[in-house]
Amino acid sequence: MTITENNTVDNGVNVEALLGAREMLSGAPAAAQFTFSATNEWVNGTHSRSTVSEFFGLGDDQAHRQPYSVDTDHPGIFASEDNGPTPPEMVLMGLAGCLTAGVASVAQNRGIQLRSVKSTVEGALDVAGILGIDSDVRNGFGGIRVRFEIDADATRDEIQAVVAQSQKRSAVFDVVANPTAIVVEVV
Amino acid sequence: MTINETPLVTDETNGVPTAKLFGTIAKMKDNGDLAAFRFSAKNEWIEGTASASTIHEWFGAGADHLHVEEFRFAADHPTLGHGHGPTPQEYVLHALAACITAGIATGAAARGIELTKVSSTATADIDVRGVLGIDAEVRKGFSEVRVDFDVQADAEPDVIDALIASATKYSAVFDMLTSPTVVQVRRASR
Amino acid sequence: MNPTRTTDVVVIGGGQAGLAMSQCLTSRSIDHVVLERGDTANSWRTERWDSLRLLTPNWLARLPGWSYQGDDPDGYMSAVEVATYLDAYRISIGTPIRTGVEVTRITSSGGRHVVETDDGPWSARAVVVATGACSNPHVPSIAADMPDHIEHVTPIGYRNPSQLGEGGVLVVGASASGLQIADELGRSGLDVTLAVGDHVRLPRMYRGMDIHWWMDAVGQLDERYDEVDDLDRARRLPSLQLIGSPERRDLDLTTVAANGVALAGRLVGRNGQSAQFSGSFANMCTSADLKERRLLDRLDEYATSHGLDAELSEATRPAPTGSVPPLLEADLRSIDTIVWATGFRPTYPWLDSQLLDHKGRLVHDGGVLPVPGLYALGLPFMRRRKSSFLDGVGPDATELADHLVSYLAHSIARSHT
Repeated sequence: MTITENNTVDNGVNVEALLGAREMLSGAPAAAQFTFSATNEWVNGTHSRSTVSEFFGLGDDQAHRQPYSVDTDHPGIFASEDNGPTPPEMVLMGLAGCLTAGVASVAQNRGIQLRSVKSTVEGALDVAGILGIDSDVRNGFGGIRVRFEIDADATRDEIQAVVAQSQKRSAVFDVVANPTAIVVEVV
Repeated sequence: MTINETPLVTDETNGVPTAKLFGTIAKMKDNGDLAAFRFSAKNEWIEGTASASTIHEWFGAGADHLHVEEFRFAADHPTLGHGHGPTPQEYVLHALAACITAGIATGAAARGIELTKVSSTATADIDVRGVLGIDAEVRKGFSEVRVDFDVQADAEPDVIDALIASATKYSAVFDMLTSPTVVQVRRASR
Repeated sequence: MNPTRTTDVVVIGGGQAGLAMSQCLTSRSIDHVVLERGDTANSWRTERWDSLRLLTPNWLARLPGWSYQGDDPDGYMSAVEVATYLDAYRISIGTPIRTGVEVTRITSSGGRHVVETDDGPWSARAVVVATGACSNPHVPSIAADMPDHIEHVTPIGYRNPSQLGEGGVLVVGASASGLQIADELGRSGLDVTLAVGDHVRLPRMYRGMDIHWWMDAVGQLDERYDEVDDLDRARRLPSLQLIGSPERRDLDLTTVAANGVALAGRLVGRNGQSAQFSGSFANMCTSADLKERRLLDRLDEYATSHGLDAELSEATRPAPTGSVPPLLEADLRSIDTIVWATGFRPTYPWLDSQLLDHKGRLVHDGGVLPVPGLYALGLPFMRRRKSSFLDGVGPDATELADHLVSYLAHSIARSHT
């Protein structure tokens, strides 16, 4: 990975720290094993609330700067109270956030100054699956489309390359696009 | 974002008005087009690895809709970020736990089972050498996700187990994570 | 080609369903003919693999006016033995069967049905479609995405391990067929991967008795189609993970894994050189384990309420399916064959498409089609949970024959008024 000499590019990504981390983790694979978690509590109906605060990585227990609390629910058409976005919308949000963070990091690495990055993420969901109406319909999104609007000091091709690279380095993109093993147990 | 802490008072089971839900299902059985939904999130970069998403519009049952308010969430990365919010991956974990939980509540309501408590912890392992481009053979995403449920209800343990297994099986988020989902990323046309 | 021949009832299919219906019609003195495209019990002779045996013990091969009289009632007949058994049945009834006759079209109008065949047409007042539940293997569309070098096989075409090359095999589907084939291939020394989706597991023996003895005793297999909550789902249940073997061994994911078969989640896609499997494997196993527990609980309750506990041995429950992490992908370059044990979807190109739903399935109410005089027999959970089994066609045929006789009587009455 080559770093541009242009020190005036600042997308807010601490590239030195990033490089340092890469260096350190190449030699210490165990430190690269992270574990993230969210603790969820049912509120009522389809409304539940998750808290995110601790995680594990770099060989030690870590904590976010503060605990974050997130609510999800279903909208009225599903006979719910709309206390929060739906879980599928949360996934779209996770995808957008992950890709955007990647765009910022990759752009920084390539010496590209970003001015604004906006995206719209859309997922098509045929609810005949989850409602048990048609067993041939999958329960999740049939497909997801992300459209980026990026204003930056770069050519169209360079920007497209940044966006392409961010997908290749996105954890959420990978988890959604490829099969991920999930084990659900009762304590 | 402020949350109304008071749980809603309803006389349906677990707060799920099952009659209304079954009515919706019946309409969709008759007209498959009504079942085509489209959800979306709009995201805006803040700085560094931080961005904020708003969730407001959605389409379903043949019409455009708005959520009751515009929900806004920020995401960031720890250690290398600025602390604006949890990581995007943690939102995905929340989405998974919440999706199965909603399914447990609905499934229990349909079977006339009263829930007292549903708590869960969704945990995921990730080897960050993948996203950092250190080792090409390491996948970028989670190697495994575990969700552990603690459910209290007026039902036998086997019945509760079956509720959870069924909610998992029919969960939209469970499906989109366990099976490949096509993601197309492109530039918006000016 | 023959000119049009006339009869009261045409029965299409000379397997156990067609023969059972023939016996019922004969005993009700109804003039009929059975049309079979091959030989009697054609599918048992030509569409089963070499080592296949019935999943149910021989005493459960009960047909109207016929039952197993051999010396191994608790054993499991081979496919060839079943064909011989059905042939003897045919002879004893004196079935008016025409073999080597293929039906090409059925048209209905004014209470008459014309059945066109490659041997000339038949005109009848009623038709029974008894072509069976397993005539067409269902190969999912994902097969078309697989690389060209791969050989595709279905349970109907599979005979034995020596038929396949030395390369790796991917068996898709953890039903009885999938498990039996994967197990046999694994034991023959081939590299086998089994893709596991929805499945139903049961022990072969429970407390000293065959699992089918239990299910017959508690009436599980007699459950009626109008008594279940989700009939559509019940009709699509994969076949029970069982094998009929002299040793009465169990067949489940744990035992096939012990025989060297690698377990993977449901096949969900292809990504370049890799086949992709779902990460839902744990959920599939948990669901199957729970279903098994529920059924065994029901059996224990039956034993206690019928005072059988003293005679039966202690209940030992099968261990839950282990949690060895399943494969999420496999290299398609090292796979030479894919065996699609993904179920069956009968097709009816010779029927009016209006008789079929949007998924090509016959529309019927317990085997009675919406067009007067048309019937079906032998479909999964058509009238009972056991409708598509050897032991299930008899009761269904009896009830439909009564319905048919009544229909014929009324339509005569109508034509005389």
